[in-house]
Amino acid sequence: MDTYINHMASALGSRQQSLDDAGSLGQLMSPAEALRDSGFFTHHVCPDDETALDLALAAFNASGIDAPSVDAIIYSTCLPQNGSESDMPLFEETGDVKHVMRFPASDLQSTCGMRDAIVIGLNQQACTGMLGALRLARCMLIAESTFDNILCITADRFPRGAKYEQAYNLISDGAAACLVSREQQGYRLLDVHHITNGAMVTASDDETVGSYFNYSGRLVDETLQRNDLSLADVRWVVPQNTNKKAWQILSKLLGITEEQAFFPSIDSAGHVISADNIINLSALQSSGKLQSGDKVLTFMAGFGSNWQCALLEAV
Amino acid sequence: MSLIVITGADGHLGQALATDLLDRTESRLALFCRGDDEPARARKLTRLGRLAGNPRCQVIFGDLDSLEPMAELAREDIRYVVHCAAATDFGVVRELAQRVNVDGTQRVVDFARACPNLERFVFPGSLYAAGLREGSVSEEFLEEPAEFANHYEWSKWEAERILQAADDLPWQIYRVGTILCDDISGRVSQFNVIHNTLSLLYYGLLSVVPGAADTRVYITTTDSTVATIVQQMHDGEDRRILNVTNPGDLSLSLRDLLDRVYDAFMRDERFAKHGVLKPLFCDWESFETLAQSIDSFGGAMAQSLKSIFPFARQLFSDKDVQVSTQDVYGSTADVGDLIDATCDYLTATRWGRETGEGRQCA
Repeated sequence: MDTYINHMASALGSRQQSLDDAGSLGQLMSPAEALRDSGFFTHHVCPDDETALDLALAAFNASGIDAPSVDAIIYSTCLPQNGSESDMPLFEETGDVKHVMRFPASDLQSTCGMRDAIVIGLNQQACTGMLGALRLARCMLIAESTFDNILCITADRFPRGAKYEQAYNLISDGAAACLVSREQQGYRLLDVHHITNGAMVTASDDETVGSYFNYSGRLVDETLQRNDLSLADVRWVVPQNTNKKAWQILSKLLGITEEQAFFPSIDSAGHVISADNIINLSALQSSGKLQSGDKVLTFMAGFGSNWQCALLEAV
Repeated sequence: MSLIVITGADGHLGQALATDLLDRTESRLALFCRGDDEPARARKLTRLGRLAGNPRCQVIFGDLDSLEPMAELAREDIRYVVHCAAATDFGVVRELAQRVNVDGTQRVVDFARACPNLERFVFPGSLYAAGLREGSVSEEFLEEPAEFANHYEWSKWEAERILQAADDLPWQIYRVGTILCDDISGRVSQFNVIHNTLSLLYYGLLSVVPGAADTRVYITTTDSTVATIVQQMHDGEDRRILNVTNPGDLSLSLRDLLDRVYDAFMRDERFAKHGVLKPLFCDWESFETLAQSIDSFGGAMAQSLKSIFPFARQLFSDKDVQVSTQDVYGSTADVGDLIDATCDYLTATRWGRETGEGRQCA
């Protein structure tokens, strides 16, 4: 049974700032110049009063999804604390754990009028969570005939005081949403492949970089093998918004040409945590370059350590 | 009693040769070491350990810029000059390589010329004096290659030229391959670029390796090198060049070496649990991009990559090294066995940190 991804939308933290701004605010670990040289220029952060849920709502509202038609919400966060709007002072005052179980997926369902949707939280796949949500949605549509439309949404903002840099990448707060459905529109979702290496759960930045190339290579190879394809069958590769130097190396290792790669949002947004793939897939759709039948690989590496890759085909 | 002068006697090879020569000969040894100031001299004496206290040894501090301190030696007693002193860092700058490895060699050659009873001038050089040439590396003087990977290689080639011109001197040149370990046990007491690379692989910090998979890798051991030199310096011929390493037809390719290393590491519980994948081979441009990019961000990995960078281009240059002299293992030591033993030692001791024996070289 075929499943499709459509209604893609995103929202970024409402304050855009330059690398130099981030540096002067102490939000970087590396020299601004080194990050600029790696393809990063500006990024988006949430002001103090903007929450991850606000971003999720904005992304959903931009998606044009018909709320009552949604049967399930898979709400993914990279940072587990973005999966619960805990009222810690009230918990500390009362000792009642219900105050640490205010779930944004429920808020989203209620606020947006998705009255028939069930909610599922996904928060241990780090930046790969959105691709994990796509996989789960596809499986649900195949397994349960009562589901037709599943909202996959990811939303993260870094906590106050956080550095907006991870593993030599500039980070933006942001959210992305899409619908996985039986409606033949957008991209056909052919497969999602996932590798987890739990032994690297405490990987340092250097270990993350150190494993990036060969694990990404293995991920792409295995995804293609699972689908009896070669890279020659793939028209577009949509990677995460990663340090361009790392991408230069990886693309050469994998044999991906510069013309095949599509990740235009890196300059303005940097790495939008778990939202990169949807942002760039949406941009590819809007670019006018995508042809019906084009196969697209999109992948992401995340802490955990997790690597996920989705194989798509343009409708 | 005859006297053997060893320059760079506090270095890894210098010490190993001195120790062996004390055992195998009755000669006195003059151990020439660089010592800029008192603290440096104290450190060197500590490093020399029992050699410094041996009544047959005399430690002389000085600098290759001026061999004045060696004037106190009776030149007519000197039978052998073993010139080990060198700047051995692959990242050495041109000026230092010129001053120490080229000009310094010239001064030691001039000093040796003034020793009336000299029987041998021994020069442990480097296999990488061949630079980035590909194909056969015979035991003859080499035409200047089109390129060297670094200034160290160039300076070793220049030093050979000095000896080539010194046809009045009974010299021998030993082109030594990369010293992997002390002996067949795999113990490592001097860490170099290969150990740094293995460390990055072990800790999952290097998922790409610069090089062509089929490039042959030339390694040797300290005891094999020392045994070859000591035997040949006494029994060998004048004006001979000897390649001291495993011969080309018994070498492992870079791919086979990495496979062997990976298999050896997988015997280590930590490595096996950590899920480190085999590295991928990358081209020079990619490695250069990685090294320069990581360098701009700083950190521990940048330091490690910096140590590999000056040597990395050799891993694209396949050589067929000719070896005429059997080493202590008969030139047939299974290179794979040496790699296994070395990897076992490195993982068991965490690169010497858990024994306190390991010493980082420049």
